[in-house]
Formats: sequence, structure tokens, C-alpha cells
Amino acid sequence: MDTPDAKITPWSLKPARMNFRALLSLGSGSVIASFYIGTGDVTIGANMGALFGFKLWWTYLVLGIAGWALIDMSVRYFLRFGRTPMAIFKDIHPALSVYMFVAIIVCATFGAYSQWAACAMVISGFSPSVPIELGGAIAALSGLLFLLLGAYKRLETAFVLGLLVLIVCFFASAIMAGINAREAVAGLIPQAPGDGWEALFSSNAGSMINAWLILIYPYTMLERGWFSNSLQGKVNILHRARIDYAWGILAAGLVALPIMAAAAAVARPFGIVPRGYMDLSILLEPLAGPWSTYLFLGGLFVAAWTAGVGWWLCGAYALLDIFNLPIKLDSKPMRTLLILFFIPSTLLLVLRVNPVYQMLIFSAFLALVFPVIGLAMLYRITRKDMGYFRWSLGSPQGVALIGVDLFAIALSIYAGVYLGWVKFGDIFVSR
Amino acid sequence: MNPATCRPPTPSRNRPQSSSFRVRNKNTVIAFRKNVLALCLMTFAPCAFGLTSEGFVDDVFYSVYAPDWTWQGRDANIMAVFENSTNSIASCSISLVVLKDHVDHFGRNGAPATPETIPLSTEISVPPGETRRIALTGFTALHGFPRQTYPLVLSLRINDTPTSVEYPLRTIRGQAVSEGRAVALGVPIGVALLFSAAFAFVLRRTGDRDAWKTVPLSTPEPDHPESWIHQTRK
Repeated sequence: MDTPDAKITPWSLKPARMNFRALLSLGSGSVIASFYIGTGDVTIGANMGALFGFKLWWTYLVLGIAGWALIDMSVRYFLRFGRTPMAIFKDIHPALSVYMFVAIIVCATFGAYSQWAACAMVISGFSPSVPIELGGAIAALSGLLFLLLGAYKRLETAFVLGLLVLIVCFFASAIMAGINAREAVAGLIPQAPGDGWEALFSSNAGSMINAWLILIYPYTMLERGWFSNSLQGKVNILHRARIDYAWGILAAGLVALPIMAAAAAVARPFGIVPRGYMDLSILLEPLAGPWSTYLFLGGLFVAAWTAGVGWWLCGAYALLDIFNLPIKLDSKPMRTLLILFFIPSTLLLVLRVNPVYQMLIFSAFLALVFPVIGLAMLYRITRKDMGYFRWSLGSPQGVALIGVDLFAIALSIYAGVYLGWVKFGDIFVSR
Repeated sequence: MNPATCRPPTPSRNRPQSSSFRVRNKNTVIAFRKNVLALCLMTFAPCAFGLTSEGFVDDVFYSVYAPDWTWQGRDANIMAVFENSTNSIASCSISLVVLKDHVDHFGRNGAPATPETIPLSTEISVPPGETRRIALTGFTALHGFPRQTYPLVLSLRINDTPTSVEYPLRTIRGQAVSEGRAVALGVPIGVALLFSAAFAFVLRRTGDRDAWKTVPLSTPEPDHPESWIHQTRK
């Protein structure tokens, strides 16, 4: 496909300047951030803090660059063709659509389930008489009602507020436990702090190079009407979107700081490594006071709830996309899909199935999803029909972009291999 | 909940008073606000759930911290700090004593207890003038037992001088899970397959039957795009 865009040197057009008001209107970045920060990230942050203090904070920066590049690739594809992410897979081979369909259902169901279970644990922490099944069902039902009754704009506002609340909660909790700012800043310098850091880095890669988040951003663009047929319009949109998801990824790294700080202050001096996200909350209480635990639990609830909503939302958008249905939160097919996601996610809570085995299936799917998405992206963005958004060595910006694209794809393949062969294998062997 | 362990808010330091009335007045306002804040914290702050016990044994100052509630199936960790202000090395140890009837109610890192893992104990040597921290880690109240408050005891020994701290630990229900690999693997796979079929049925009825293999048309530009989209750089 040869278009007039193809004749213009890539990255030669300058985007229109953004004013301060426009910066404040960015919202989808917060949606992305809220999806990023779930129970897995709290556990990884707590383990990093307990084992190495702040010395692995840099991993969020490095992995954040890769996450940013992967989102950027899907946005460039969307702006170039006006097609949503699932079209990439259909374009390669329809069999990939079938694989993505099953992967979306498995990952969104199990991913959301683990977040509702975390919400339930927090509720029982505040009110021990509430059974886990009931707490989880209440959290899931509130998430469902929120999505069924809301429009996208309202969701964005709620997620901006949610992100602010969870940042305040985690930071307040960490300040009570004691936070060493100098050590934290030093943690941004890449370093290998000791045995076991590679495993934490790889787990963090599995979390930050989140396959679904790569795909969801173009859906939020559709909801906001961020699309144009003119090249200047596309350049302007890409510029604003890049700042938006950069903020989202930055926020995810920022939230990791107080979690690491809390673990570094209360667990590390005693040589304790929290086994899960709840262990740190109990640890905080005797050393940093009850408010520290309550704030931490509050932050954890917001993180888990928004991530649970995020799994459903992302899953439902992707399914609508596969079946070429309108990508709209307040549409009938969307509501039907959300109700369909609610049933198995809540059912698993009641069935009391050992979550380790669900994580096994979840890891197996993710292990394949990561490389599949990474390689499909690579195939798509390197084709000549990408027009103005094609790979180009003609400018420093173009060269840098190729560098981060390749880095991101290599990392997504690595994350898949790690999840598939190492983590999956470990769980299987240890059981 | 142990009311005896409720900690009052840390008192704020008095600021030096200025001779200026304006500044003094400002300080009074700040002090008033701090007092109101302290009062609010004392009123609304929940009692500390944790055990905090401190004391001297053989001129070694010890502090023990532990949560006094835990979810069944989750880990609790007991922490101890020893400050040796003597001129000789202090040998310190801490162990958790569980009643015989309750030994099988507990485990390590989520797994049932064995004679090697329960009772828990650890020891450390503290050089003169130094402080050392140790912990009894990964102490798990197991699922499948009635929720209750266990009358545990922390036994400390400093330079062969024993002392003990009563440690009541209350359990609340955690995320109960069924045992068995076949069920735990089969049920989620079954649920996922069943709902994959349900999703496929609903989506194929709602949209075009062959949509899953048809590349969609390009997204149309919105009728009323935001003004910034078509701006050019001035």
C-alpha cells in the first residue's frame, strides 16, 4: 500500500505544542497505571524491598521503557491504519485470532479472580467476620456495577482519583515505616545487588511487559475519539498519547517506591522475605503502627480493585475487537461480556480452588502470549506499508525508536521464556 | 486486640517561642492544630493489633514485635531486637512455645509443621555496644482448624537468663482452598473452556459470524474531533 504518507520522511513533522491545561486533561495514562498496579506488583515490590532495599528500583525504569515502546508500536499501527490491535493477528493468520480469543478469556478471568481474592483478604483484614467468598463477591459486584453504570469518561475520572488515593495510601504507610530518600534515589542506578536479583527482575518483566496493556491503549483512544485521517492530526495524537502512557508507566514505578520502602524498613532488618502481598501488611503493624497497616491495606484494596476492573475491561475490549463489534463501554455487547466475565471470576472464589494451579495455567498462557504479541508487533511495524510511521534510520529519533522497539520485543520474548520454562517449571516441579 | 498495647501518638517537640506577638500567635495556632490532630488520632486510631514487649535482661535491652492476629494460611513473623550495652558479647535466643494440643495447627511457610520446623527458635550473638535484629519467620496458622486465640508464649534467653512474654495470637479465616491437584487443575480448565464456549456463542450471535477472521475497516474520523488534533505548530 503506497500512500502520500510514505513519501514524507518519518518523524519529520513537528507536533503542535501542548499547553498546561492539555497536560492536566491526560487521563488514560492513569487508567493504564491502575491496571499495571495489582497484587503481583505489590508482591514483587515487597520482595525487592525485603531482599535488596531500593537497589532494584532501576528495573522499573528499564522495563518501563520497554513497556512504553510496546504500547507505542500498537498506537503507531492504530494511527497508521485506523485498525484496532486484534487486526494485527487476523492479518497474519486467523488461527492467531482463535488463540488470542482463548488466551483473553483465560487471562482476564484468572487475572481478575486473583484481584478479587486480594480485595476479599483486605476486607477480612478490616472486618474479620466477613467470609472471603463474600468479600470477593462484593468487590467483584461493585466493579461490575461500576462498569455497567458508567461511561468511559467517568471511568477515567474514577481511575485518576483511584491512582491518587493509592499513591497517597502507600506513601503515607511507607513514611510511617520510615523511608530513606537518599538510598531510594541511588536505587535508580542500574546494579546487580546480589543473588536472586535476576529472578525478581524477570518477574517484574512479566508484570511490566504486560501483554494486555500493550493492546488496551488504542481502545482508550477510540473511546476518546483520538483519531484523525490527516497526518498532522496523527502526529499530534501520537505526541499527546506518548506523554499520556509515559505518565502511566511512570506512576507504576512511583508506586513501587513506597512498597519497597515499607519492606526495606520493616522486613529487611530482620531478614524476612514476605511470601505474599498480605504478609507485609501484617508486618507493618507492630513496627509502624496500626495506621500504617490500614493505609497499606487501603492502598492494596484500591490497587487490586482497579486491576480487577482493568482485567475485565481489557478482556472485553479485546473480545469486541476480535468480533469487529463497536469498541464502546456503554454498549450492549460490552455489558454482556462484562457480566460473562463476572460469573467465572466470582465462581472460582466460591469453588475454593487452590490459586497456585490457576497461576500455573495463567503462566502457561502468558508465556505464549508475550512472544506471540512481541513477534506479531515486530512483523507488523517493520513492513513498508507503515508509511510515515515506518522504521527509518534517517534521523536520530528514528534510530532510537528502532533501538527501543527491538529491546522491548527481545524483553517480551525473554519474559515469555522465563514465565514458560522457569516459573512454570518451578511450580510444577515443586508440587 | 490488646488494649494494653495501644500506643499513644508520638508527642511533638515544642518549638522555640518567638518574641514577636505575630509569630507567637502563629505558633499557638500550629500547636492548637497539632493538638486537634493528636486528639483525632487518639479518638479514631484503632488500638494496635500488635504485640510490643520491651525489657532488660542481664543489661541487654530487648524488644519483641509481633502481630497478634493473622489470616489462616498466611505467614506471621515475630521480630526481636537486642541492644547490648554491656562490655561483653551477649548470647540471645528467642523461641515460640506452642501448646502440645495446638502444634498441628501451625506450619512453616504455608506447609504443615514437622518436628524440625516447630517449635521455632533462633539465636544470635550481640557484640558489646551493638544492636542486632532477628526474626522467627514464616510461622503459619493452618487452615482447617476452628478460629480462635492461641495462648502462645515467646521464650527469650539472654546469657542463660530466661524470660518469657505471653503472646496471644488470634486467627481469622484466610482464603480457604481445596486440596488435590486434579481438582485444582481440572476445575479452572473446565471453567475456562465452558466460558470460552459461552463467550463464543454470545459473540457470534451478536456480531458477524466470520468477524473473527475478517480484518476490520479503518476507523472513521470522529464527527467533531477535539480542536487540538488539527492544530499545526506555530
